[in-house]
Amino acid sequence: MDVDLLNPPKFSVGQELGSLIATCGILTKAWEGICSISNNKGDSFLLVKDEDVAYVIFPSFHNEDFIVTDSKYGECNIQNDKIFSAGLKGDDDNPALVHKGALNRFRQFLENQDFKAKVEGLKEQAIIFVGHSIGGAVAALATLWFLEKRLRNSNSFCITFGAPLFGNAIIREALGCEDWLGRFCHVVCKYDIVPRMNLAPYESTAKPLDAIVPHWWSKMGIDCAAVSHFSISEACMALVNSVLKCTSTIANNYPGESGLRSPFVPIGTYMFCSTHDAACFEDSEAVLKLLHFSMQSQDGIPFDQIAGICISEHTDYGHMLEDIDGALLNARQFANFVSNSSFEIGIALELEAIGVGAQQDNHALFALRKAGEEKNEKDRNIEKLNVELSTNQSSMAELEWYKMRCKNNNIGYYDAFKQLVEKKDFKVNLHRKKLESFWDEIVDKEKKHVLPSDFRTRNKWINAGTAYRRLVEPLDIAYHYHTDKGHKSYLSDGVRPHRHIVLEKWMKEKEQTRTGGNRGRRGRTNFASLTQDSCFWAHLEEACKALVNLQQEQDINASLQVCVEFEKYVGSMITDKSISLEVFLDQSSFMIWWQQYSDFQSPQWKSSSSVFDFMAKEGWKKKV
Amino acid sequence: MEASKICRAEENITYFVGTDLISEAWNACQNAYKSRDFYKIEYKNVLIIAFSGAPNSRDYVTDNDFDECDINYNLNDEFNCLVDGDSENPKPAMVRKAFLDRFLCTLRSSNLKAKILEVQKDIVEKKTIIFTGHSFGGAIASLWTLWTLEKRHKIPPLCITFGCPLVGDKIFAKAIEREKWSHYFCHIVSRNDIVPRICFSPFKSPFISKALDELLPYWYDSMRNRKAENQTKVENQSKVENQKTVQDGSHPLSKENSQEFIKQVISDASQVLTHETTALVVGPANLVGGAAKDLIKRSPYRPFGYYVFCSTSGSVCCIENTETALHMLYFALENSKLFGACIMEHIEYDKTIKHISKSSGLTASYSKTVKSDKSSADDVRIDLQLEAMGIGNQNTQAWLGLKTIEENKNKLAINIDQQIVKLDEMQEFMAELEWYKTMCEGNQSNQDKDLNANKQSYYECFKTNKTENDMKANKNRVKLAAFWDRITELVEKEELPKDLQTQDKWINAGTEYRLLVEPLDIAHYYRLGKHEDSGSYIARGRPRRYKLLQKWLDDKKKKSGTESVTRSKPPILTQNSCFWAYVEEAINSSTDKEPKDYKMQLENMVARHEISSEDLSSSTITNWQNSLSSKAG
Repeated sequence: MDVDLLNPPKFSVGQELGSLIATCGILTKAWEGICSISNNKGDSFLLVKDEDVAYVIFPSFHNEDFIVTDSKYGECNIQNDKIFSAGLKGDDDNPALVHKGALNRFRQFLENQDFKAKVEGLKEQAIIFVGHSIGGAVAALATLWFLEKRLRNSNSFCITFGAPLFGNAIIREALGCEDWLGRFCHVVCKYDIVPRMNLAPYESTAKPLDAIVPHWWSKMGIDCAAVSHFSISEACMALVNSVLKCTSTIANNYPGESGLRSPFVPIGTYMFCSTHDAACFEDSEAVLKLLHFSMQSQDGIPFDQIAGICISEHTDYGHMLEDIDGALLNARQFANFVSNSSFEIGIALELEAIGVGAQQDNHALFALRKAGEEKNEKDRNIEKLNVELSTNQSSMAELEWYKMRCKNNNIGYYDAFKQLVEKKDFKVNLHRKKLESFWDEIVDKEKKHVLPSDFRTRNKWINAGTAYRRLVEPLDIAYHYHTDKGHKSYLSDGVRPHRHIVLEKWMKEKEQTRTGGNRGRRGRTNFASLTQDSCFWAHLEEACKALVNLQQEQDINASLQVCVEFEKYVGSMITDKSISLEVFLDQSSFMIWWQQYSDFQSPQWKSSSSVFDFMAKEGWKKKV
Repeated sequence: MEASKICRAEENITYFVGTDLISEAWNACQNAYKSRDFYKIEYKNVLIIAFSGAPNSRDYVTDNDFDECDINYNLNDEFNCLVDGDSENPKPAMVRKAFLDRFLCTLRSSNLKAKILEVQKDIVEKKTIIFTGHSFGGAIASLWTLWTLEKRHKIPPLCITFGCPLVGDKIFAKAIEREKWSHYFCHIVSRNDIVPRICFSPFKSPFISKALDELLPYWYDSMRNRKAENQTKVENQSKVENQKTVQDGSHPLSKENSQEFIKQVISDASQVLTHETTALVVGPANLVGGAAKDLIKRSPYRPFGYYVFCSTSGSVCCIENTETALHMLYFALENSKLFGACIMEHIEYDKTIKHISKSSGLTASYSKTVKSDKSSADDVRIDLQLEAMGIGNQNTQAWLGLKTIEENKNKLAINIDQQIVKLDEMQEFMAELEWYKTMCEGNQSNQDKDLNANKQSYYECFKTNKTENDMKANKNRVKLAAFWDRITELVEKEELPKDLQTQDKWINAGTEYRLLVEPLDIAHYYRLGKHEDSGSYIARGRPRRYKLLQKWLDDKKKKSGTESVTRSKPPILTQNSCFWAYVEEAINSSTDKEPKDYKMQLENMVARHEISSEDLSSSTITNWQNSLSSKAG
């Protein structure tokens, strides 16, 4: 086996990433744009083009953006405005939630025709949505909106400065599936209060915010009435206090209080900045904890001073970028090595960079170590599954061969297997079981989030899953009707195995997102070798039952309905040739059903039914 | 094994030192400054060709930021093996245009080309050619060496450069490593010399261009005014010269300007370095992998060949790994920030060379004991390297960078070991499939000796999937596919050694596999009707593993230069593994215009005797031809 199960994680490059992003010039340009908007007291977005990059910059915030009226943390359902596709819905108990102030603001931009036309018309290689504060959350939503369009020609990214958390875990999962998380980069000053603010309920922050927002506003160069400094520092203390209370609950994971937790979670890469360096973190849980730990003072600065810094850093990103740039040329040196593992050293460098310090008993250190190990575990799991998938291909080959042999006996493999008499049928059953446990395991692991987040959108797995489902589900159906001689329909709730439902869902989701639909695909000219709808045989079984009812004159209306529906269904499959020819083999149960059904039907029907026409002419024998 | 690796670079240098080649080369370099383009001297059995490092206004007036261009842009594919990617999407190596132009100039205008070819043809004398050059001359020497290596004569040339700037990009460096040419290049770099790092920065940027405007003429003048006819004189002269420069202590650049200049280079170099380190770990759909990578202008240039760093204190450090060299180039500069030395050391290679000859055998410089509680040999070696460079193992970032490289290298070694064992296991399945082929074809011809029309190739047998043998063959096909898919994946993720694809062992195994098994994959594809879903096999269905394996073979053929001899007899295995896909498409689309193309292709293959006789006489082909001719008739 390729995989060494004891491999610890190898690298952690957050610190390198941080200094790379901080110094590559993108951030500086983005921040300049934000400054120029607020200097011009602009209210609309700004479009800056720089060679092959287009920056779409949103204004920072308005007073009312911070105000929350009808929810505890300022969240609202993303589907409220129908801006985003239904793919981002979540389910009823767990809807996808976003920052309400930002969503309202973004809707206003969208309603402004100018915005939509301008952004969609951009031809640059990369589009970077940029925003500060609430504007950052708007930028994140704009990026999401743009990503959902799936335009091929440009890449979109999002950079925010001191933005509040903008979505809940459902949004994070949806982005993870598409492998979009890396496109969001949130720059956070070590003490900036805003990125943590909506971890605390609004009621606890409302009052101090009243005083602080105008203060920020004046800092960003927007005129407003002067605010007395005394009330500000009071307000700062109050705000920071109530936020810290909530973050510490979250960071220390006190049990029993999870119900009180804010729905918001970090989404994307977070770049924490101290005065001398920066580091990036990707794991959402680790970031959540760092949001708390990085606010703790390391150098014994008194609390009231920290509270002041928490507020002032929110508008101070320009200086911070300069500081980091200036500190670049100083080599980072450690007096004492923490360990020999490059992973551990990497973490230590990251924590050093954001000014948290890397003492042995540090909670932040544990959080990062855990995140690294989890990610490593995911990579190992997928490697293992890759190996297993290829060994399972030989079971698939056995089943294919079985199918071929049955066909040569003039009976479909579904019907042959349903009888379950011959030795080869039992052998096939073993292979069926083997594949069953393999795919059950995969579906289970995916649900438990121990596979990479974009697992279910990877072509390799979608294709393997679809191939499995189409070949083997008929056997599962046959087994169901063989053992449980059919009081319960395979199609009724809870009977169809979960794995098939999930695999079909993955495939459908993927097909929706494939741009261009059937690129380079000619329409079918021959019938498929496997019926494309893997539940075909279950439908047939139900139609058989209905036919029996008809013959015994029970439930005539309902039963006739079932049969007619099924006929229509078969008709449509014949037209688009998605049905396999094996269905029409002499001993197929479909042929038996058809014989009885057409005897039962009226003569007028015979002249009008296209399926009858096809069957009478034995259309499947025609070479196309 | 690891230890022997690092020694190779050192032995290389010891060899040079033992024969005075380095100082001879340096002499030639100085003389080259007085001649127009290059200077030629024979020394014992060696022909030394030195190129002048004289600046040229073109050197730093550039079209694009980094002045990179396709290495073959003005040539007839002279640099054949420096192209990566596949035939549809070739990724040529990029080199600095200014250097390439100067190389082309000497290639076309002078008699040097003829002379080199002549020397190489002379089998009796067996002369070695050494290309050498100081500063920009080193870049030209590198390109000449490469050009000569491409001719693949018996005696490969060597290249010794002094303070040479970076020449080519990552593909360039990778190709040289893949061809196992690294040890023909020896770049001698004085620890603080700025020129080897200068290509990390865009020459357009104000600090750089301002500095170069003043420094290039200054460096040129001080090199030209030296006299170096023979070695003893050189030593005397250069002593005087050095003393003078030390006394003057002044280069034309003001203190602020030189600081800004060097800081700029350091910061640009750090961009390159962090990019390289993180690229290993971060995926492409990332802000860093995506926007920051493609859109932020960052130097494409990377080191290649062996590097010998000499510090002023006399310690010498030989680096074989190009990634390590990149780290050293950056950290040595970042660590010291001796702004004056950065500029002056470029023209003080006399001292450097003296250090090298003194340190004969590098153990001396390593004798300094490094306190270390680390047990692993790798760790100790990293400490030693950093110590020798004068960086010190307290620099966590440098240490971590080197450690990452080390771990990556170990991973590659483990991977390849595992895959070699597996390759052997795969031979069993190959043997079974071969037997299957013989069975299919043998059976047929025995039973229907007189009826050619009913012959079946193993392709057709497999496509019908009638017997248990077919199913077993299918299982073997699947197992082999899993193995080669894994290889493909590892190669694409660069987790196997770079020279894998030039090893005959792997090329042959891959080709054997492709020719025997791809027909089965095609049969499987068309049996399941996948062409209905996703299009023809050739356009849409061909697995990546086959494309990769075919590329390996094509590359090898390209290098050997000779076209394979035309066959006079049909081979045992059809040589074009996609043959059956063409046949299927030709039959399926017999109503459209397309079959003509396919037919043409097929006829060509037949004419070149690429199709095995079994395949040709199989029933599908015969039937198809009959139907065609009946239609035509």
